[in-house]
Amino acid sequence: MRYLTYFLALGLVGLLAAGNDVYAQSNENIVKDYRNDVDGDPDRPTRVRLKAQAGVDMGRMAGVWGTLGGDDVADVFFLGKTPDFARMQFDLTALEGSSAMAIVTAKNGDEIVRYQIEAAIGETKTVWLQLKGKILVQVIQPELHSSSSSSTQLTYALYFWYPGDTIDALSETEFDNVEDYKGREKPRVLHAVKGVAK
Amino acid sequence: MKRPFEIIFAILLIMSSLQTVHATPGSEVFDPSFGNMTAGASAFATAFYNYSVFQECVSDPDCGMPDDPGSGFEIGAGSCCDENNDCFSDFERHVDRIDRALATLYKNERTYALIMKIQGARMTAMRGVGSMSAPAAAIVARQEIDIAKAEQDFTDNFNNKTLANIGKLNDFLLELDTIIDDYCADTDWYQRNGLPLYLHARMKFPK
Repeated sequence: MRYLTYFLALGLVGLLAAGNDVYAQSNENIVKDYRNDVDGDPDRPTRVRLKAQAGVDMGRMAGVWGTLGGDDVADVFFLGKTPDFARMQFDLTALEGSSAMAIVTAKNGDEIVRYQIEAAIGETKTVWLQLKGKILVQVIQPELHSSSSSSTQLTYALYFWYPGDTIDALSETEFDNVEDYKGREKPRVLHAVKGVAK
Repeated sequence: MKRPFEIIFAILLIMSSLQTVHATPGSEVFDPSFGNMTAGASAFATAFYNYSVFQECVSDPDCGMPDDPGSGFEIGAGSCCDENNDCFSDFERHVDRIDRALATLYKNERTYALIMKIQGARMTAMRGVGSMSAPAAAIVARQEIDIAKAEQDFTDNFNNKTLANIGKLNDFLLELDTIIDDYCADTDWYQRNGLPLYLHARMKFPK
C-alpha cells in the first residue's frame, strides 16, 4: 500500500511537471534566452524559425525574450535565407536595465548590408526592412560597446514578422499607404437606401 | 495510513511552489511586449485588407469610395419596408453583412493581382538567369513549367474559393428576400435588387 501511495505521488508530481512544460512552451514561438542563454558568437547563431502564430493573421513570426549583462555581451540569431527581397518587421523593446541595439545583417553573395535598430530603456522601435540573402541578427548593449563602464543587465524583447508575399509585391508608395491607412475604415461597397435605388 | 497522505500532500505543496517559480520566471515582464507586437501586426493586416478593397474599388466605378459617400451600389428595400421601422432595421443589418461579403470578394481580387505580379517577377528573373548559358536555359525551361503550373493551380483555387464566396453572397441575398417577404408580400425583391448584384459578382470576379 505504501509503495502504491509513493507511486501515485510520483505520478502526480510527474504530471504537474509535464503540465508545466506544456504551459511554458505554449503556442508563442519565442526563444527564451533569459532561461537558457543564447550564444553571442556570430559564427554560431541560434536558428530562429518563423511560424504561424495565433493572434497574427498574416504570415509568420518569431521572437526572443532575452537578457544581456556581465559576461553575456551578445545574442546572435539566424533567421534563414531569402532568394528574393522580403519585407520584414523588426520590433525591439528595451524592457529594463539599459538600451538595446539589434544589428541586422543580410549577406547576399559578396554583398553585405547592415542595419542598426536602437531602443532606449522602455522604448519600442518598430522597423520595416527589405532584405535578401542570409539574415543574421545580433543583439548588444550599445553602452557597453561605446564606453568601458560596466553595464547593468538588459532585458529585451525582439520580434521578427514576415507578413508574406503579398506585402513584398507592394510598391514603396503602396506600402507607405498601407502604413498610413492604419485604422482607416474600408470603403463601403453597398448602401441601404429608402426609396428607389440608383 | 495517514502518513503516506501527509507525504503526498507535502510533495504536492513543494512542487506547487516550485512550479510557480519555474513556470513564470519573469515572463510577466515580456508578455506586454508580445501583446503590443501582435496588436500592431493585427492593425497592419486590417489596414492592408482595407487598402486592398480600396485599391480594387478604384478600378470599379460601381464600388464605393471612402471619400465619396454617394458612390457604390445603392440597394433599396421597397416602399412597404421603408415605412416599417422593424423591416428597415432588419434590412440594414442584412445589407451590412452583404457589404462585408462583397468587400471580401474585392479584397481577394486584389490579392490575386498581387500574387500574379509576384509570379510574373519570378518568371522574368528566371529568364534573365536562363539567358546566360545553355544548361541554365534548360533548367529555367523546366522551372517555367513549374511556375506556370503553380499559377494555374492558384487560379483554379482562387476560382473555387470565389465561386463559393459568390454562392454565400447569393444565399445572403435570398435570405434578405425572405425577410422582406415576411413583412411585405409579393415584392419580388430578389429579382429587382438581389439578382443584379449576384450577376455583377458572377461576371466580375471569377477568372
